Amino acid sequence: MDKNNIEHTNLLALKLLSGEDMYGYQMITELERRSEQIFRMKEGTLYPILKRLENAGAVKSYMAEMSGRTRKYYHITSSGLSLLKTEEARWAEYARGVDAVLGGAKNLA
Amino acid sequence: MEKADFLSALAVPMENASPRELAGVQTELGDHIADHAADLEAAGWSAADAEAAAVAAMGDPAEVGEALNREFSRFWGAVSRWAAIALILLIVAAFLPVCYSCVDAAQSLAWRINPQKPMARYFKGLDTTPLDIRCDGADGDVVRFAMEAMTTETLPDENGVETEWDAAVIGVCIYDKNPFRCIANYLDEQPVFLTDAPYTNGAERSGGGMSTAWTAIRIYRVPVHRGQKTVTAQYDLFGTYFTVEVPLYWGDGHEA
Repeated sequence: MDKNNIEHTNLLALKLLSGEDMYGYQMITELERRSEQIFRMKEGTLYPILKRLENAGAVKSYMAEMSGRTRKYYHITSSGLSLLKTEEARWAEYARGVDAVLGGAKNLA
Repeated sequence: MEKADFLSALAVPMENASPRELAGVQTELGDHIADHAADLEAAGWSAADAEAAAVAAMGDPAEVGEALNREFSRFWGAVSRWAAIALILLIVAAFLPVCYSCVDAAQSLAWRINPQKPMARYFKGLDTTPLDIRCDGADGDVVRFAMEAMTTETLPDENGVETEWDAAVIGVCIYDKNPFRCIANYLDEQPVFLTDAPYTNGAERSGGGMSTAWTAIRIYRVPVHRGQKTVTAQYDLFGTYFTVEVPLYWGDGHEA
């Protein structure tokens, strides 16, 4: 596995959308809330990620009105859910590897 | 940086996106900035500071634009633009016959109301007399003798010698009674005028005019004898036959 190639932002975006359909700003605020303000990305960078996921068929977008405002919502597709499972598995493996190293370092100390 | 500046800078690298795609991205990111600024204002920020902070949180517009541009296909962008042009051309091509039909139909209605007007170009320089002789032609057609003028023409006689003949110039308009139907036969076999001019073999056919599927105008130059009172028009098409005597007016509109 190419550990350097794990797309964390893809994983986070797909995970957020697996719960409910969201629009861009909602995803940013939800990400900050769930990560207890640890993840503070440059907000504009979310949109190329969403566009790439949309091109890959992992998400679909649609316009919907909520509270009098029309926004572009994103919906995870079945293909996106499969991709999410794969990315979660890769992340778990990657995290185990990091933990093992950190644990090994502790043992050395 | 203000929101408008951010959105303008965002657009600069996005050359692969179509104008519509670019407008969609700018709307989406503009809404994002507005939402963020509204939250900050609700937390007590001034409007100007809130917008500036919301714009700053988006990051470098050039970087965002370049990253977005990579997600738009130059190839498909070009294809979609050409497809749009091709679609417009197809629609125009599809409607062109309809437009022509509309023009023809409008022309047909105008000719019914005043057939002398479209005939006027064939009578330039002549003293004209309006006629209004209507006959029933084949398959619902109206054959309308509408205008006349007297002139002279130099034509060969039976010995081939150039001789000056008096000639009646007669305009005939043909259309179907139903304005939405074409005429029975606009190409040929319309009325003929009986004359004893030697080169005509007894019948003068159309000397010109113009035709559409809806209306036909025929201009006949019929050699006649000076003082002749009428000239006989004969029509024989698809089993419909009639003859009509068209009066001739010699000078100042007075009948001979």
